[in-house]
Amino acid sequence: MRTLEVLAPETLEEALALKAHHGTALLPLAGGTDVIPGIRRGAYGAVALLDLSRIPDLNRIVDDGTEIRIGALATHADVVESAIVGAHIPVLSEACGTVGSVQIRSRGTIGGNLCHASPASDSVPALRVLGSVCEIRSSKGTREIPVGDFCISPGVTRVLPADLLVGIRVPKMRPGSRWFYLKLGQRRAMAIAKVSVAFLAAEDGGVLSDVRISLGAVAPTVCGAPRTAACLEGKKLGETVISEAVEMIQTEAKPIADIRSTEEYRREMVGVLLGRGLRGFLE
Amino acid sequence: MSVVGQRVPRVDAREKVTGEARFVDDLAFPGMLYAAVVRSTEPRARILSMDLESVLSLPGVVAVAGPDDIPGGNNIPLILPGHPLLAPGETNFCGQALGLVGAETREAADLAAGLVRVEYEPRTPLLDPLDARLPGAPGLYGEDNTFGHHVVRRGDVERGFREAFLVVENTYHTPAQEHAYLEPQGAIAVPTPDLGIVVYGSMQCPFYVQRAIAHILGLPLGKVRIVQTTTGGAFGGKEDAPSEVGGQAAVLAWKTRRPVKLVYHREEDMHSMSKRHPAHIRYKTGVKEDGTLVAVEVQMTYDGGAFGTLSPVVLWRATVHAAGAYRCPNVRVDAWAVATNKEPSGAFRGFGAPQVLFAAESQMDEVAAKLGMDPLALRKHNILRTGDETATGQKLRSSVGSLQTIREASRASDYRTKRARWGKDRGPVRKGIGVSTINYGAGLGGLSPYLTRAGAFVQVHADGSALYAVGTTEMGQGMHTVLAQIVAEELGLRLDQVTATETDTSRVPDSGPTVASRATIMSGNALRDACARVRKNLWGVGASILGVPLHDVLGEGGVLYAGQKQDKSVAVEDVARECISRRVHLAAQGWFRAPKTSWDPKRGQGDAYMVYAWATNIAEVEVDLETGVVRLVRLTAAHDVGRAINPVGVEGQIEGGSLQGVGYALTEEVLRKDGRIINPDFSTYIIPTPSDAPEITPVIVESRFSKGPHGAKGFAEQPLMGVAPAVANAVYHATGLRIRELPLTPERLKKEMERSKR
Ligand SMILES: Cc1cc2nc3c(=O)[nH]c(=O)nc-3n(C[C@H](O)[C@H](O)[C@H](O)COP(=O)(O)OP(=O)(O)OC[C@H]3O[C@@H](n4cnc5c(N)ncnc54)[C@H](O)[C@@H]3O)c2cc1C
Repeated sequence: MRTLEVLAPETLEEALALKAHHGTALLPLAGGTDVIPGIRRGAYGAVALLDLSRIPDLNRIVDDGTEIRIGALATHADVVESAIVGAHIPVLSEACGTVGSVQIRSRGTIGGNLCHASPASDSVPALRVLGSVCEIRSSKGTREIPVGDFCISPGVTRVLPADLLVGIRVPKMRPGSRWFYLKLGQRRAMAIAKVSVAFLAAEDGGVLSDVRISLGAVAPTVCGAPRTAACLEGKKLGETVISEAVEMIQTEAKPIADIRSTEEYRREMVGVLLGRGLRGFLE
Repeated sequence: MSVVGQRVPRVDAREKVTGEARFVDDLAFPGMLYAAVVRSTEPRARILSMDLESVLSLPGVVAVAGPDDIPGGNNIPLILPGHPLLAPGETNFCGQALGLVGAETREAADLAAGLVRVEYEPRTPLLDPLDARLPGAPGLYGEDNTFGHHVVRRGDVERGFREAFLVVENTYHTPAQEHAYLEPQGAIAVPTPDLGIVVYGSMQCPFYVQRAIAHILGLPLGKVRIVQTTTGGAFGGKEDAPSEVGGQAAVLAWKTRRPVKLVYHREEDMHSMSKRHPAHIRYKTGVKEDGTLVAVEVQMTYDGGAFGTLSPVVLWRATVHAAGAYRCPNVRVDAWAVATNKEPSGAFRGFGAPQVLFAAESQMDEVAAKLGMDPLALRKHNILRTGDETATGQKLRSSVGSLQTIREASRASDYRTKRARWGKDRGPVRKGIGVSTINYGAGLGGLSPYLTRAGAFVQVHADGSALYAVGTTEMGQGMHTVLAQIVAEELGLRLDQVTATETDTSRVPDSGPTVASRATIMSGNALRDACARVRKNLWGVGASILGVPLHDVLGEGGVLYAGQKQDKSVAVEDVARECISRRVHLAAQGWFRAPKTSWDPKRGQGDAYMVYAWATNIAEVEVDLETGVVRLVRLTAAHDVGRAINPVGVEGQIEGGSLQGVGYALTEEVLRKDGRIINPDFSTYIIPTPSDAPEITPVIVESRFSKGPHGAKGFAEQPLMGVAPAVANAVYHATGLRIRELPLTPERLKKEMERSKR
C-alpha cells in the first residue's frame, strides 16, 4: 500500500489553522475524485491530505432569501436532489446532473469541481451564468471572488496556500428566466465535455435581457461569450436572431484541439448547442 | 435431456457476486516479493546503457534483473522467433520491457523501476504499416518486415470482373482496439524446493505459459506447473501475453528463490499489451445485374506491431473470412501482416476477421445501393447454403444456419417496415436500419491442426458427486457452466453434484489454447469421452442393482432408472457407494481430436474449419446531423450456435460481445503521438457505458453440428464481429453518408458531411 499522511480536523477553524501552517504541503481532500487519480498519476508531488469530510455543515445547502448558499462539500448528488436548488437555480441541477456517473456524483463535490478548475467542468459554466460568488476563508478572514474570476488556468485558482473554499453564494434566478445547460461528450455517461454551453437570461414578452453565456471546454478555463450575449441583449427571439447568434459565437469561441475532439468540431458545436438551446425557447 | 439446453445460472455466479472469487492480486505467499517492469520510452532505439544496479540501494529493493539474468532463452516462444522477454540492446516499441525490479512492496518496486536510468540512441521508427514493405523502410523483421502473407486463389477474378455488371472498389481503415478486460494482467511465480516452479495467473492458455516459462528458465516442462487463477476477462488479450507476464515474474523468482507477484497497472497494461490489429483494406466486389456475386478481390495489410506473436494466424483467419459469408466463384485475397514500432498486435475476439468483415459487409451495402436492391435481399441471394462451396473451396455439408439468421433477425427487428419507412426524414435527427451477415469458422482450423485436441478428467466420488478437470479455461465466458451441464447430462447427475477444479497443467494433458470459440466443442467432447468411460462402470453397477441390462439404464437428476417407465430407480449416490465397496474404478481421462481440416497455403484452398457459425445483425440508429452523433438505439443479433447448451449464457455472450462491437463501431480508438499511446486509460479510451448500450435482442438459431457436444459449435467471438458494419450501413441508410473508417465518431461524420457537400 502507498502510505499518505491524512489530517482530519473536526472543525473549520482547526482546518484553517493547519492550512495556515502547512500551506501547499497540505492538499485539501473533498470527494477525492480528482485528488486520488491525481496522486496516482504523481500530479501533486509529496503532499499530505487535509480531509474536509468531518467538518460539520460544510455540505449544507440553504436558502438565504435572495441567494442560495451551497457548502463547498455539497456533492453533485446533493445539488441534484436539493429541492431548493431545483426551485431557484435549476440550471445548476441540470449541469451537476451531467457529471460523470452515479458514483462520481455521489462523491464529487461542487467545491472540488471549482477548485480543480478544469475547463470542462460541468458546474462552473452554470455557476458562472448565475453570477455566483465563491467564499474563501483563511485563518485571517473571508474573501469573496466571483466564479467568473475564480479559475486562472487549468488546475489553478485564486485559492491561496492558506485558504479553503467554504461555500458558493448563488443569486436566485428571477421567475420566468430562460436557461439551459447543454453538453456534448464522447459518450452518454462518464463523459467529460467536448463542448458545453450554459445560458441564462431574463425574458419579457419574448425579448431577452441580462443575457449570460458560459462555455466549457473551448478555452483554458470556462469562459464567457460577451459579444454573443450582447448581440442577443434586448432582442426578440426568432430564427434570424438565433442564426446571427450562432454565427457570432462560432467566431467568438476560440477552441483548441485535444485528445477528445478537434478545433473545427468544437467551434461548430458551440453554435449548434447555442442554437438548440435558443430554439428550445421558441417551442 | 434434463440439464443440457436449460437456462441455468452460472456455476461461478455466487462467488463472483459476493467477492469471494480469488483473482491473482488477491493471493499472497510467504516471503513474496513484488515486481515492477522497467519500460522503454522510445519507439525504436539502441539501448546504450541501463543502470539497474543503481536502484538496488533503495529501501525495500531486493533484486533486479536484465536480459543477462534470464537463465534460459531470452525469447517468448510462440510462432515466429525474435520476441525477447527483456529487450537486449535495442527497443522496438514504447512500453517494451527492458528490465525487472523486485522489492518488498509494490510501491518500492514501482518507485525503483521508475528511477532506473536508461540511455537511448533513438532511431527512426517505422509507424505506418503501409510503409513497412516499401524499399528503404527500417528493417524490423526478416527481409521485408512481414510476419505473414496468406492468399486465396479461387477461379479467375479478372474474368469475374470482366463479366460483372457492376464493380465497386473502396479502401477501409480500422483502428487498434483495446481489450479492456476488467482485471489487468498479473502472475505470481513460486519456486518449488525441487527446483521447479509454479506460476499462478490470469490467463487463457496455461499450456502456452508452461512452454514459455520452461524455455525462459531452461527447465524441462515437467518442472513447470501453471495454475490459472480466476480470470477477470481476457477477450484474446490473455492468449499469449501471460507468457510474458509470467515469464517476467518467473525470472525474478528464479533469481531470488522467493515467490514474486507481478500485476500490471492499467496504464502499463494499455501501453504494452496486445491490441486488435489496425488494418488497411482495399476491397473490390463485382456483381451481375441481379446481384449475383461474381468476383471479390481483397488486398489487406494488418499492422502487427513490433513482434510476430500471433500475427500469422490472426492474418490467416482474416484471409479465410475475407470474402464474407457468400458464394463467389472468383476470389483473390492477398493479406500481409507487417512489423511496425508499436506494441505487438494480437488476438482479440474475432481474431482478424472483424476488420475485413467491416469492409466486406460495407461493400455488400454499397453494391445493394448501386443496384437499387434491398441489402437484405442481396445477402439472401448470395448467402452460402448447405452444399455450397466457400471461398476456400470448402463444401458446406451441414449445420448451415445462415439463411435462418437472416430471416429471424429480419422478423425480430421488423426490418422491412423500418427499412421502407426510414431514411427519408428531413429533420436533424435521422433514423436508419442496417444489416450485416457473417460467418465464423469454429476452432483453430487448418493452419494449426496439431493443436486441435483436448483432454479431460472426470472422477465420481463415493457420494455420487463428480469432479472434473479440463485444459481449457474459464475467463468469464461461462465455460464451466456449460461443461458442468454436459457432465451432469452424461452421468445422470444434478448440476449441483458437479464441480470443476481450477485449470492446472498438471491435471490434464496439453489441450491447446482457450481461443477460437473452441472450449465448448473441445473440452465438452473430451469430457463426454471421459464420462462415457466412467458411466460404463457407474451405470454398470447401477444396472446390476436395478436388475436390467446396462443399455436399459437411464440417468437424470442424480437418479438411475430401469428404462423409460421409471418405475424402478436408484440414487446415483447409492450406486457410487456400491461401486466403492466393489472396488470399481470411477475415474477416467478423456480425449478429443477435432474433425480433420486442411489447407493448401499456395492456393489458399482447403477445408479451413470443421464447421461455421453464422450471424445476422440488424442495427437501428439515430444520427444527429448537426452534431454528427450516432446513437445505436436497437440491435437485433441472430446467431446460429449449433445448440445453446445454456441459452442464458449464449444471450449473455451476444449482449456482451455486441457491446464490445458497439465500442469498435462508434468510440474506441487507440491514439498515438510519435508512436506512443496517448490515451492509455478509460477516461480517454472510450468504451461504451450501460447508457450507451442499445436495446439488444438476442436471437438463438440452432442448426446442430453433429460432431459437437449435443450439437453445439463454436460461439462467443462472433457477437462482436458484425456490429460495426451493421452500424455503418444503418448510418448510410439514415444519412446517405458512407464512412469507411472506424470508429464512426461525430468528428469523422461531420468531416464526411463537409466533404460530400463539396
Ligand atoms: C470517472 C470520473 C468522471 C468525471 N466526470 C466529470 C464530469 O462529467 N464533469 C465534471 O465536471 N467533472 C468530472 N469529473 C471530475 C471530478 O469528479 C469533479 O471535478 C468533482 O466535482 C471533484 O470534486 P471532489 O470533491 O471529488 O474533489 P477532490 O478530488 O477532493 O478535489 C479536487 C481539487 O480541489 C481541491 N479542493 C477540494 N475541496 C476544496 C476546498 N473546499 N477548498 C480548497 N480546495 C479544495 C483539492 O485539493 C483538489 O485540488 C470526473 C472524475 C472522474 C474520476
